[in-house]
Parts: sequence; structure tokens; C-alpha cells
Amino acid sequence: MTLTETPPETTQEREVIRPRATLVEELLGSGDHTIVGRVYVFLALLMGVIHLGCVAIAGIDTGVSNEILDPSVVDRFNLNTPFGLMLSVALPLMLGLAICVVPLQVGSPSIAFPRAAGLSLWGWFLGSSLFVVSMLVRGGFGGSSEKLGQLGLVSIGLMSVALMIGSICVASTVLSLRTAGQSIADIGHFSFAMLVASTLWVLTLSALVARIVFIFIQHPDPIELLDEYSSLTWIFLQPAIFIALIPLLGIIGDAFATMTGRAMSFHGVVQGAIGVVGLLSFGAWAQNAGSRDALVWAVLGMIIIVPIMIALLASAETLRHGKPTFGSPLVFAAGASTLAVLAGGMSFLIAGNTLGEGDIVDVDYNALSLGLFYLVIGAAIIGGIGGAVLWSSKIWDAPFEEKLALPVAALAPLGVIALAAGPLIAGFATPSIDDVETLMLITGIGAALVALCALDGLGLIAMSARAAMKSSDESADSDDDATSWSGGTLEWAAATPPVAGNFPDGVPSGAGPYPLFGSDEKGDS
Amino acid sequence: MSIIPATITPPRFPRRRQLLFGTGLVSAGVTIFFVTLIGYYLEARNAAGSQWLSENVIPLTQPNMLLLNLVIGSIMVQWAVYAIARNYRTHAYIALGITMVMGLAFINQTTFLWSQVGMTMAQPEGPYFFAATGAHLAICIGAMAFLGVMTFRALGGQYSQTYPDGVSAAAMFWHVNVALYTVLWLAVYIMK
Repeated sequence: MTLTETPPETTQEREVIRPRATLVEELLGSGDHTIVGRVYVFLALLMGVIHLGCVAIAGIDTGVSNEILDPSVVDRFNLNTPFGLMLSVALPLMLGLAICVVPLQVGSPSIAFPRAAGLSLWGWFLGSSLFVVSMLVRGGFGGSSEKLGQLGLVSIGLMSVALMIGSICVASTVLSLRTAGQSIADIGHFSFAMLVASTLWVLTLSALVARIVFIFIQHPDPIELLDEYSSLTWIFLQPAIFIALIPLLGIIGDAFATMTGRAMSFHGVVQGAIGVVGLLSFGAWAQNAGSRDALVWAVLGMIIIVPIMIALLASAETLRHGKPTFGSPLVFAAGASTLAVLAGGMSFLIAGNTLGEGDIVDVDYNALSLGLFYLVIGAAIIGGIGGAVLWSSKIWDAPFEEKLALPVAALAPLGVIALAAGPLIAGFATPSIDDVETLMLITGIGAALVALCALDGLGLIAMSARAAMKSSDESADSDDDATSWSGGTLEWAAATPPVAGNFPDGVPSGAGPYPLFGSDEKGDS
Repeated sequence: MSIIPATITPPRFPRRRQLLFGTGLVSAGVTIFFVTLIGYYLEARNAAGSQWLSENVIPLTQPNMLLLNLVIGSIMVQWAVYAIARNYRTHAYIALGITMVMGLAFINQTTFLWSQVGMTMAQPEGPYFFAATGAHLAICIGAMAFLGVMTFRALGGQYSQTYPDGVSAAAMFWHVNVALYTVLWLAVYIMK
């Protein structure tokens, strides 16, 4: 006789007693998107403190005394920190936030490929740590050690691959794990922006990895590695640098809608504008210096401000119809919007200046590009911290304290402006050596301010963990300073604090992008 | 006149193809990675002019046979997708097995081609040649690994008529691998 059915006694549910996972097991082995995303955000902010600290030390040393650090160390910091700020801070901060928020926003119980998300986190952290080590001890670009130089190169490749894996998880979540009946057009701005950004990150970082592989197989010595530096800098220049700005536009849109308590009037317009920014920021084709003299490059660089402005204005239009609640997410969004507009304007000026036979105005293109880089990366960092504050009740076990978040929201944009001011002024004027030292000092102070803000972000996370532990203790007093917001998109229906599966009571059904808002808040009346 | 019954069965939601979307994104990244390396190769060849490959001869037999290998693999893997979607499991295993054999033959023949060309990394063309051909070999090995995992999962009963996504995703990556080899064949082996 052939037995084709499972014996009934084996199908009965049995109580399985499993040993409780230790903290290390939970941290290292978890595929829970909330845990992976939290750790990503925390470590990205930590890396932010380190890299911004290096920029600050190099700038202040050059501006004040030139005696604290060896000039070769300052050069090494200046050459390597852009890679760190982009691949260790800005992109992973956004990716971590996305790993936390996107599944909630599309009504999914988990992220797609959860183990790959965990692999992405730890691969990125390993690459990021190796990069910091190589930069600090005679390696990376501008270092004197051949092996440590190659280690720096490999760590950039490792970070890029890890970020691509995480991006694929996020994009696949949006594409395949949306709740039934929810179309791509109906998802929240941040999820849509992350779909666009993730795709662009995969397409852009893979080209960067190709160059790294090509350099690495030649086993370059420190001099050869330094010569190859210029072949990798396209990632910091327009249009590729704008890949870091795309998620920010989504965060700003969601922050305005949430803080106004009203559906976005031009939801589709904002999504479309984010998509166009994505199209314009594909920069893998502009790797050669020659391609950056082309008319296409100049036109793309000039028009990218248009969709940025459309996305920001359409988002801000919601403020006019609703009653905005004053809070740190609104201040973060306003500050980041200002920086995004400045970045778009700077891109317009840089690209426009290359039109015609030659430069219209005599400027230092490299200095201006560095200023643009700082503006975009600074805006992304502020947006990332702002997003972590906005969704704090859905990400962490206790919402962030408003009294700690508000000063950061106000101070951070000023820090980024100071950070970018040095290279931007140096790009337009031709400064003397004394002026250069003063400008470097300004940049160093700006970097120190932004590093303090990243440190404050870490403090917010620590305070949240402490508040969660307190609240689990019945004898402890509740924390009155913590504020949580509420909006119309699906993530606001998820359990607070987060639980496994995200939606223990099921995903609410409703049409459109704001199923939790009533008809008045949707603007139907 | 047709009458629609009152108790019509509601349509099923289309299956969400998570693995296919993921594989599509990986394929996009791999394509950009490979095309970038081919771009470096073509740029260097253009700059070198008549000096390019002046010390080496690339035979045509092996590259053509490599292409044939991969195309046969493509047909086989598509047969596997067809078979698993109809629960012809034996056919699926045979097709997947033949595809793997084609992949192994590709690895064998590529290394033989390298020995025939006799290029070294010290030559100006060396890094470009080995970056392009080596990257494709790595992609092919990746496609075989993906196919191998999916074959074992299919053997374990995870993929069938009701859920053939894993085999379809592996097939998609194999087809991308073949398309990329076609670019390599044309850019490196044919347009010398």
C-alpha cells in the first residue's frame, strides 16, 4: 500500500518549547526588518559621527594651526571621507529607515528576502569598519601602505555590494509585497521614493563596483591607487550624487502630509516628480571627464532642479490647506527642503557654466562640486534623522523625545550650510592661502555641528531604549516628553511599539494612498 | 445569448512574483556591472589602435562554441520552466541537468581559451581582457549556482505547477548570462 497522506497524529499542533534567543543571537541572526533597520540606522549615525569628525578635525586643523595632524593625514581624510559620507552614512541611513518603514507602509508583515537584508547589514558594517580602519592607518586613497590601500578599495566594493543587496530587498518589498488592492501609485511617498532610489542605487553602485574590480585586479601600489582616484569620483558629482537625494523627497512628502493631518493634494504629481529625479540622476554613463563636457550632461544637470522644486512645492502645498502641527519632523522637513533646493540650484549653476565653448565664468569646478556634494549628503543625513524622528513610534520601542529632537532639527541645516560654504566660496572666488585656511575652518566647524547632530540622533535612540525599559517597569513614571505622530498612510495602523508581523489586527482596507484618513482629511468634501 | 451565473467564482489575485522581481533587479545590476567593464575594454582598444592585441591571437572556434553551449543551455532551461509549470518533473530535472552540463562545459572551454590566447596581466590588454572575460565567467558560475540551488529545491518539492517561481527566476538569470556573453562575443572575440 502506498501511503500518500501524513499520519493524523503528526499534524496535531504541539507546543514546542524553544530556548529564548540571546541578545547577540537576536541581533546577528535576526531577519526581522525592524531589528535590521534599527541597527542599520544606529550604525550609520555612528559612522556619521566618525566621518564627519574626520572632516571637522581636518578642517579645523588646517584653519587653525596646521600642527595637530600631519599634512598627509589631512590629505587622506579629505580624499577618503567623501566615500565614507556617501557609502557609510547617507545611503545606509536611508536604507535602514526604508527597511524599517517600507514594509509597514505597504502593509506587509515582513521585508522581502529577510535573510538577505541581514546579510546586507552585516556585510555593509564589515566593509564600513574596514574602510575606517584602512583610512586611519596609512591606507585608503593617499595612504602609504599598499596592502591597506587595497583593503580600503575592497571595503568600498563590499559596502557597495551590501547596499545593493539591501536595495533589492526594499524594491522587491514594494513591488511584490504590497497589501491586496494597493497599486504602486497608492503607496506612500517614502516607499515610492525608495523604489526609485533602490533601483538607481543598484544601477549606479554596480558601475562603481566594476571600476573597483578593474583597479583591484591590477594590484595597485599607493601611487597607482591615487592616480585611479579620479576614475571613481564621478559618484560624488552630478548627476550621480542626486541618488542620495531621492529618498529625502519621499520623507519630506510624508512628513508634510503627516504633520498637516491631511492627504496630499498632488500625490500623483509628487510621485511623478520623484520618478523624474530618479531618471535624471542616473550617472553611470558620465564616468569620464570627457562625458561631463557633453551637452547632455549640462542639460541634465540644469533641469534636475525642476522636478525637485515640483516635488517640494506640491508637498508644501498641503500645508496651505491643513492645520500643520508644529513639531520636529516639520522643522527637519523644512530644513532638508531648503538644502535640496540649494543643491538643485548649485547643480544648475555648475552645469550651466559648462555650456558653450568653455566655462562662462571662471570658477573652480572641483571646489563647487565638493560644495554640492556636502549639500546633498547633508540634506540626506538631516532627512534620515528627520524620518527616524517622524516614524520613531513605529520603529523603536518608545518614541523619541521632542525636546532633544527639536534643537537638532534647527541646528543641522545651519551645520550643513557651513560645511558646504567653504568649498562653494572657494569655487566662486579665488581665495588667498589665508582665506583658504579660514574657509577650511568654516567647513570644519560645519562638519562638527553636523557630527553633533548625528551624535544627538544616537542619543535619541539611547533615550528611546531607556524609556522602553522604563515603561516595561510598572513602577516607573511615564515619559511625558515623548511625542508620537499619526498620519493617513498604512504604517500608522501598525502596532506601537512594533511587533512581529506588524499588523496583529490585520491591514486596514481602504482606497487610495491615505486609507486611514476620513473624507474631510482626504479633501473629498 | 450567454447568461452570467449569479454565483460566479471571483478571480484570483495574480501571484506576487517576489523572487522574479528580485532576480530582475540583480540582473539589472549585473548587466550594468558587465557593460561598464566592456566599456573600459572598448575605450582602451580604441585608444591603442593597431597596437591592440598585436602579440596575441584570439581563435574563433572556442568563442563560437561557447556561444553555442550557452544557447543550448538557454533552450534547456526554458524547457525546464515549461516542464515544471506542467508538473512534468522528470523532464524538468533532465533539462536542468543538461543546462548545468552546458555551464560546466562553458567553464572548461573558457579556461582552455585563456590558455590558447596566452595573454598575461603584465600586457597592456591583460587587465581589460581578463576583467571582461573573467567577470562573465563569474556571472556564469553565479547562474549555475542559482540554478543548482533551485534544482535541489525543486527536487525537494518546493517548486511545482502551483509555484514554479524559483525555476523561472533561475532561468531568467541564465538568459541574462547568455545575453551578456553575446555582448562579450561580439565586442571582444569578433570585433578584435
